[in-house]
Amino acid sequence: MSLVIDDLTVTIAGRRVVDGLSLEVPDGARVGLIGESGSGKSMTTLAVLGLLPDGAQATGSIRLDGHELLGAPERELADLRGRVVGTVFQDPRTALDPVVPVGRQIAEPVRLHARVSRRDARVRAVAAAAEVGLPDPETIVDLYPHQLSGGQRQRVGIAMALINRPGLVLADEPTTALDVTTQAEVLALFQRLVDEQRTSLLFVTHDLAVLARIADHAAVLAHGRVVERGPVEQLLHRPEHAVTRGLVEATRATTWRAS
Amino acid sequence: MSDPTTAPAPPLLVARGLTRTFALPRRSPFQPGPVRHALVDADLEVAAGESVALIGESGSGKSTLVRLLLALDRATSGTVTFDGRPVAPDRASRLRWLRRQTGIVLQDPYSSLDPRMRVGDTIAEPLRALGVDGDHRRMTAEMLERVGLSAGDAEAWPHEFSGGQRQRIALARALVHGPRLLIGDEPMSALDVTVRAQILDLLRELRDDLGLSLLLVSHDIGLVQHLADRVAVLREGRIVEQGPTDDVLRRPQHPYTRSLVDSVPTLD
Amino acid sequence: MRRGSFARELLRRPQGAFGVGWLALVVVAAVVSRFWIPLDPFDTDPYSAWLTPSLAHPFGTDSVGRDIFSYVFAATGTTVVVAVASGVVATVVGVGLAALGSLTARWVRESVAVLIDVLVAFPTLLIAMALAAAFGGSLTVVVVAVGIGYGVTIARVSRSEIRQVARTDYVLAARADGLGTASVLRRHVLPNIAPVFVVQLSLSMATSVLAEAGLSFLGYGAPADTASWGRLLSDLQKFIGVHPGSVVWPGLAITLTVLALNLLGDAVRDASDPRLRTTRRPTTDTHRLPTTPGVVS
Repeated sequence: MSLVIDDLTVTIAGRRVVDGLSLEVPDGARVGLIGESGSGKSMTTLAVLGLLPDGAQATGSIRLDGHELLGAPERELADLRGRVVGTVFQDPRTALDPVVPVGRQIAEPVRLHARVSRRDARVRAVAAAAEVGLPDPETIVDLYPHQLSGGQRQRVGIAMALINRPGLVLADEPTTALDVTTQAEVLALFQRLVDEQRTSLLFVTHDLAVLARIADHAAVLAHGRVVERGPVEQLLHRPEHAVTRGLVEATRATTWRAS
Repeated sequence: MSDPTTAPAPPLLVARGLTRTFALPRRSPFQPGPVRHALVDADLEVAAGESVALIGESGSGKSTLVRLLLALDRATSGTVTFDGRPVAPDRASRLRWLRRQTGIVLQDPYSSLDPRMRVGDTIAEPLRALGVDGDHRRMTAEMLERVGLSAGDAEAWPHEFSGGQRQRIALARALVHGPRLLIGDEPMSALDVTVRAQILDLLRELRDDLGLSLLLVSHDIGLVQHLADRVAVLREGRIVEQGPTDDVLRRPQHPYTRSLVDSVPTLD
Repeated sequence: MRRGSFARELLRRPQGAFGVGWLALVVVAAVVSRFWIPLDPFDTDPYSAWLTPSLAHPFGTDSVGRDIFSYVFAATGTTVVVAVASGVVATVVGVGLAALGSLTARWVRESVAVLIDVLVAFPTLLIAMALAAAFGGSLTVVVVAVGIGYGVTIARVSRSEIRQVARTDYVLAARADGLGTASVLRRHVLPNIAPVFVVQLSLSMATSVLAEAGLSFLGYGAPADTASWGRLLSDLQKFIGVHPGSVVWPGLAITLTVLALNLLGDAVRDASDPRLRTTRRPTTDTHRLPTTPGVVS
C-alpha cells in the first residue's frame, strides 16, 4: 500500500502548521519523518487519518493507493482506520483506555471491522499478544493497562495497530516515552513485524538515532515543510540543509559514541 | 588532569548504605503489608569539582536517591553527609546550610516553575529563602544573562518561554545562590535534541566557570558520556556497577550495564 | 501582582464589567437605602393597588398599594448582607476544614475527609429548612445554612487542589531552595488554589442570594418586616394570573444578581491567571512555536 502526500497545508487559527508538505511512502517502504517540536510532524499524521482538531483546515492531496483521503467522508475514513491504516501513538500511558482490559482493546479493531464473535476475537487477541512478545498471552489479555509496564503497554498498542494486517502503519514517536532497553526491543519488534507483514511504514520521530535504526528513507521537517529528504544514511553523513546539519550535529554532541 | 602528587579532592557528598523502603497499604488486617524497596544499600560519593552520573531507568530508585541526598525524604537506614556534616530531614531553618550549597534542576520544564510567579521572582527565591545578602535584582539579572537569556525576561511569566528556555530559567534558579553542588534529575530528557545540545554546552560552561560539582541523574547514556567523570549504574534500587565513565561504559562488567549500553541507538 | 493591571484585565472582559457594574449598583443601593428610600416600602394604600409603572411608581404597585420600586430598592440591603455574610462563613468553614484536611496528622486528615464527604451529601436548602424548623425562619438561618453547605464544598475542592499543588515539581523545587512549609503555603500553594477558590466563593454567594429568595418565598427566610426580593416574589406570585407584569421586577433583580456573581467569579479567575497575560513580544527563537505540554506537533 502506498501513501502519497502532495502539497499538504494545514492551517489552525490562521497559522500554517503544515506548509506545502509533499511526501511519498512507496509500497513496503519504511519512511521516516523527522523534526523538532512545532515542526508539524504530528499534524501530518493526523491529517492522513482525518483526525485533525476542530477548526483546522487542510488543503492538498493525500492518496492511499491512489484513493483520495483528504475531504473524504468520515464514514469512509473510519472504515480505513484500524483496518487498512494502523496507528501507534506516543504515550503508552494515555493511549489505552484505563478501564478496559487490554485483550478487549487489542480485539477492538477486529470487532469494529468484521462480524467476529467475542470468543473468536479473544483468540485473535491472544495470538496478537503472543506475536508482539507479551509474556503469558492467555493471562495478560485479561489485565488492565495499569497492571502492565510501559513497554508492555506499547506492545499492546502495536498489537492493536497490526492486528488487522493493515497496508500502512503510522507510528508517531512510539518509543519516545520508553526506557532505553525497552525502546530497543520495541524498535526491533517493529522492524520484524513490518518486514514480515510487508506493511508500509511512516515513522515520525524527533530522534535521529532512532530514525537510523528503523527507516531507509526520511524527510526532514521544519516549520511545516520538508527541507531535505533522502536515504537516511545520506542525511546522517552528508546532510545538506542547515536544519539537517543542525540535527545531526546536536545528535552527535549528545549521543552515545561507542568507538 | 589532576596532579598525582597532590591528595585526591575531598569528598563533598557521601552516601553510605542508603536504604529506603516504602510500606504499602495492607491487604488484610492480620498480616503485615507488602513493602517496596525503592533503594537498597546504596553507596555514592561526589568529590569536589567532580561530575558524577547516576544511570537508571524508570523505577530504578534514582528520584528516591536524589530526595534522600537533599534531605527531602528520610532514609530507612544509611547515612548522607555533605562536607562531613550529616544530612537528614529537618526544619527548613536548620537545613539552610545544605540548601545554600546545593541546587537542583528537575526534569519537566513545564511543571518546575510556578506558573503564577514571574520568572525573576522564581529565580530569586533561593536568595530570599536563604537570606542571602546583596542586591537580589542584580543577581537575578546577572544569572539570566549567564544562562543565555536577557535581564528583561525577569518580568515575564513562565508560560511565555519554550521548554529549553524554561530549563535555562530552572538552571538560573539552581545556581543563583552560588552552590557548590548542582544536582540534575533528568534535566534534558524533555527537550528537543538541538536544545539538548545547547543546554549541555551551557552546563559544561557553567560547571567550568563556577567550579561546580555535578551529580547528574539520567537514563541517557549519551549525555552521561559527555558530562560525567564517574558513573554509577542503578537498577531496581541497587547500584550494580560504579567507576570512571569510560571504564564502565566501554568495558561494562555487569550484564545489566552491558544490556543498557547495547540498547542505546547510535548514529554509526 | 500589579494591582492596576488586574483591575484593567477584569473590566476588559464583558463578564467582569457586567459583574462589577451590576453588583456595584446593588451595593450602592444597599448603602443608600439605609438613609433614604423614595417611598416607604411598607406603606400600604389600598386605593393605589396595581398601578401600572409611572414616574411616581417606576415599577408600579402591588396588591396593597406598596411601591414596588422602593421595596426592591430597600431589599438590596438584605441581599448584600446575606451574600457577604454567607460568603464569610463559607470561607471560614471551607478554609478551616481544608487546612485541617491537608496539613495535619494522618488520622486527622482522614477523619476530616470523611466528615466533608458526609456533609457534602446534604443539600443546602435541606439544611436551611431543618435549621428554620428548629430555630424559626430568619436571615441568620439562611446565612448559616448556605455558609456551612457551601463551606463544605469549598473545603472538598480546596483540599484536592492543595494536594495536587503539593505534589508539583515547583513545590519540590521551592523546598529544595530552602523554603519552609509556611512559606511554601503562602507563596506557592495559596496563589495556585486561589482561582478555584474564587469561583467556588462566587458560586456560594450566588447560591445564598437564591437561597434567601427561595426560603423567604417559602416563609422560612426574612421576617415579614424585612424587605426581601424573595418575599416580594412570593407576595406577587399569588396574583400572577391576574397581574403577571409585576413579578418581573423582583425576579429580574434576583436573576441579574445571581448572574453577576457567577460571571464575576469567572472573570476574577481569568483576570488573575498569568497564563492569559503576556509581557513581551514573541520569543526570540522564532523557529520554536510555544507549545503546551502534552501537545505534540
